[in-house]
Amino acid sequence: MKEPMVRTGTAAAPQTAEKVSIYGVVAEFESPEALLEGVRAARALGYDKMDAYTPFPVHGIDEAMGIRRSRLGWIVLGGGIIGAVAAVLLQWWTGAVASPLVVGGKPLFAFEFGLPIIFELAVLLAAFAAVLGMLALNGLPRFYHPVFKYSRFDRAADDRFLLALEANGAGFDAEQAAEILKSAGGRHVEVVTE
Amino acid sequence: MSSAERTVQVLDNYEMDARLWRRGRNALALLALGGWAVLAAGYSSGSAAFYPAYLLAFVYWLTIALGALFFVMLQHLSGAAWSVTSRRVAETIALVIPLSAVLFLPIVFGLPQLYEWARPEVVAADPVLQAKQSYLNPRGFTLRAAACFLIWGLWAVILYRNSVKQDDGGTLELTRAAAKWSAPGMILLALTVSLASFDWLMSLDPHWFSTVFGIYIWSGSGLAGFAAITLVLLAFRRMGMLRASVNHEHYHDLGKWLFALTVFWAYIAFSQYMLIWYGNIPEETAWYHERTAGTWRSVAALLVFGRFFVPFAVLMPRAAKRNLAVLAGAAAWILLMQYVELFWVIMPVFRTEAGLMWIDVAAVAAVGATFALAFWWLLRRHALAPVGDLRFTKALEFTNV
Amino acid sequence: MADLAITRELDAPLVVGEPSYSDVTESVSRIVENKMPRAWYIAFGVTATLTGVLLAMLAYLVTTGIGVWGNNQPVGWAFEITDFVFWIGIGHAGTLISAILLLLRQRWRTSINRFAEAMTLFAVACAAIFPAVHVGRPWRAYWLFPVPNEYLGIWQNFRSPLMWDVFAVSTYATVSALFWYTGLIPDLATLRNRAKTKARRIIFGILSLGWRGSARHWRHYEMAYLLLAGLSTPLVLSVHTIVSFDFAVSLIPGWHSTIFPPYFVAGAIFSGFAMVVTLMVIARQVFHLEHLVTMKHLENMNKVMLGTGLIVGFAYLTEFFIAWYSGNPYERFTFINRALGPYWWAFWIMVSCNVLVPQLFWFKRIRTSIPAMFVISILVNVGMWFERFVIIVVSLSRDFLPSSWGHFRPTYVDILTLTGSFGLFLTLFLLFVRFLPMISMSEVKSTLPRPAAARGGER
Repeated sequence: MKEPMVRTGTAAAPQTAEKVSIYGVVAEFESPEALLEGVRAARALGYDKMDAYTPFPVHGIDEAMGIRRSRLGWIVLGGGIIGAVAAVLLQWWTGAVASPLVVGGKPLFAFEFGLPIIFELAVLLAAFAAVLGMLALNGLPRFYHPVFKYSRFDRAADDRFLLALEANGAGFDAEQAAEILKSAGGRHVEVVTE
Repeated sequence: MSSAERTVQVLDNYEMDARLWRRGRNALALLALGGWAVLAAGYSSGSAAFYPAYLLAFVYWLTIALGALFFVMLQHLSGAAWSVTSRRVAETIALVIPLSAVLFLPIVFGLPQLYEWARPEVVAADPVLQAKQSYLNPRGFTLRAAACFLIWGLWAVILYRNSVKQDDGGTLELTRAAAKWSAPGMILLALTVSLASFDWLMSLDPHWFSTVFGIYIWSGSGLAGFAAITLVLLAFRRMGMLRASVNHEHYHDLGKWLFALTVFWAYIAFSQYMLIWYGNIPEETAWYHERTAGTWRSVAALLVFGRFFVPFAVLMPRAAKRNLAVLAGAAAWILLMQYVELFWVIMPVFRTEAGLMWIDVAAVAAVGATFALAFWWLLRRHALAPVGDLRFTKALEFTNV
Repeated sequence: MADLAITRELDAPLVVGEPSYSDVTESVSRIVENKMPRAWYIAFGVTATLTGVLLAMLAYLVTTGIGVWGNNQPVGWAFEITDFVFWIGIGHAGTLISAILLLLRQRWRTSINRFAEAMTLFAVACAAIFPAVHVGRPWRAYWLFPVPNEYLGIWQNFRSPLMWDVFAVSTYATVSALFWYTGLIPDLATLRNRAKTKARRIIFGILSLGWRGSARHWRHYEMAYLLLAGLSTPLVLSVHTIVSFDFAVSLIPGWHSTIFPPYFVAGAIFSGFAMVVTLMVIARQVFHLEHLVTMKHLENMNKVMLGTGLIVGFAYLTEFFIAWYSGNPYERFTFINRALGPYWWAFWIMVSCNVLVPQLFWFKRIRTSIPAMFVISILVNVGMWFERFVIIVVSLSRDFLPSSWGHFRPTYVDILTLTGSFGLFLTLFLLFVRFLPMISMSEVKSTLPRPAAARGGER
């Protein structure tokens, strides 16, 4: 989205023809608790655009960062309903319309025997909705992201908790951001470019 | 470890207000008296509706108490923390069971009015009933019922006493003892509830049989028990009790259980119905035939929608389970549906048309108020929550994902 | 603090030795990054050979016909359906551990769920072979699905429980795979980050879909995982339920029983847990994972086996009682025939392995003894295989008319196909432990006691 840019090294106001496009300032924390401290410190100083990169979901971070609860549930419900309706149509149409044939003295269509497949297809489509919906909401697969350039990014899937204060937030100032992260106990503070 | 060392964070007053208690007692006593008076009038008028109405009312309230006993054992067995603050209510509901054995006596006296197999002239003309006579006979029935009440009562008392012992300071031994008792208790509960369902309900149609019937009744009983616990806790909340100890997180979990057990009930009920529908053998379909004839068909439809679809849809969203008004409505609805279901299981044997009679209402009020009175009385003897339980603090800290 | 000591005693930590986050990464990742131990190659040689036997038997069957099996009239379903139900059942523990225990917040599942989920997939794969070849012309097996085929005028008969089976098993396989893969994504990212070679970096990079562990992503991810668990829970119950419908909708005495759905589900979980224990006991020893898969995990699984074994016993009892109570002479005969008829030995193997032997788990010493649980878990699976054999073959061999009774005797093809299916299952399993992290690192890390886990310092 951003135009190509060069780093000037000065953290001036972003609108003054600053050619640097930086993703943000990233720091490493040792524990989930330390990370949460960092998040709170940054929020207290008005930084609201941020992201954390952690080896496992850190509980309490959603509230700390002000992220809303996932709405995935509604997508999944939609998938389930489509599956159930499709199963009814499939069994009713094939059994009662396309090839009506009485077997075993049973009706051409009935919910008594239709339910197992209605259930299965509902679950099948709901499960697909859950996985594909999750990927779509997350914008995955995405094989490049600026944070991969952070020198210690590898540890984010191992034992470290990264916090990135993102440059597209209001009033972002790289130096101030770095200072906040440092004073909150973050280490290896780096400015990461797009 | 002495109890002085423990630092239980007391958030609520775990003792019921004496005035509130007296008011509750008076109201329940009044209701019980009224119910019994009407019931006695019905009995002395020689109404044929008396025994079926009484059986239904008794089984209805008993299944709720058994559901509470199931709740208690389940929590001990799984070492759950979330439910600790709600457990005393469940334990106290279950503790009504030993007292309820007395209320079973009218059923023993009314066996010939209730069960075909207890009428010698019917048995004499029916070779199938003769073949079953070594099992389906009044003596066997009474002995088996006594065994059931003995087991339920024993376990309800043991688990309750073990729990209140912790109020003055929980120990590891007591926590482990609860789990140790619950393991055989759960096995016995499964066997006895199954047995009681066969004896008391399935044998109303003595020709009919279904292997899953015990589990079917049990699933409804568990659901009703969980609903009753939820409703009682919510009522307490309204009266100003346990407001901090049982909070939205705990209600959310109770809501999840109501949802899960609703699905489980539907699963068992559907499996039984579908297999009989599909097999289409007259001796099996007769049971459903009787229960879908005439106005009973509407009751069956009400169960499908009311017992499954309504709570399923209402309890599905997370927000609903955390909204206490919705949850209270759902729990009350489930308890109503438990009555409708048992009505539909029992009454078609005696009545060709569905319809509530005044004696049904009186019986439910009489037995229910007596159960509730016992509950109310037992409740006052100990703290409203197992404050000394080792997992108590953990329960208070509990939050949902 | 006395309180803390008691809490630890009550809810013991799930891992031993207080490993740090990086210890977890290290002990799990190194298995797939280093060379496999010699034992792995030996095992792989054996299982690959057995898989060869399976393929040979299937080739012989497909080129010759179903007659190479011992199936006859009236025993039209025999080993192949027994094996099918057996393998489907094995899979159930995987979903149970990953989904139901997640919903029940049983955190001890984290060390074993990946392993058990993989088992589910491979077991379902093994199971699917049997009905597919039993159709007689397996090259037309796609007729099982409602897709356009050569006979457009006729559609599948959805009134048949066998069609429900097709949908249940294929949905189960697909959803289990989705669930498994979703769970793998963060761990694949860990392997990508650790990759030393370019090829590994690219492969794991693609497989991990660019996962970066963002807090915003975890939120949707956790929700997706929870919802998948919520969907898998009724799904796993439905699968064995529908398998039980295959039998229970018919009128054969011994098959037509309303308790079949919950009874089959309990039996499936029972045998699945037994299989997890059998394999886990070996894997944790060979790959040195004793600190992550602890005695507590094994003990809990043994408790689940005890519980589900009791449910199965309860179902046996109920069936016998109702057979008598029904007053129906055919029902009564079927159950007498099970216990005392020509297949009495199969029945008694079933009862002793499924009901009597697991009672030993009431004793803590046996529950926590590795050799004891290894033997018992194998016996349970023997018992569960025979349970299906008793239900299927014994009921079919003698139903209503004595004039049409028969006797089933397996051929060597029957026996070698069953043996070979174990080869396929284990081969897939060995490949899994070779190439993918067998323990969910991200989940285990989230259950580690803090703050000890965060140590590890600079590297």
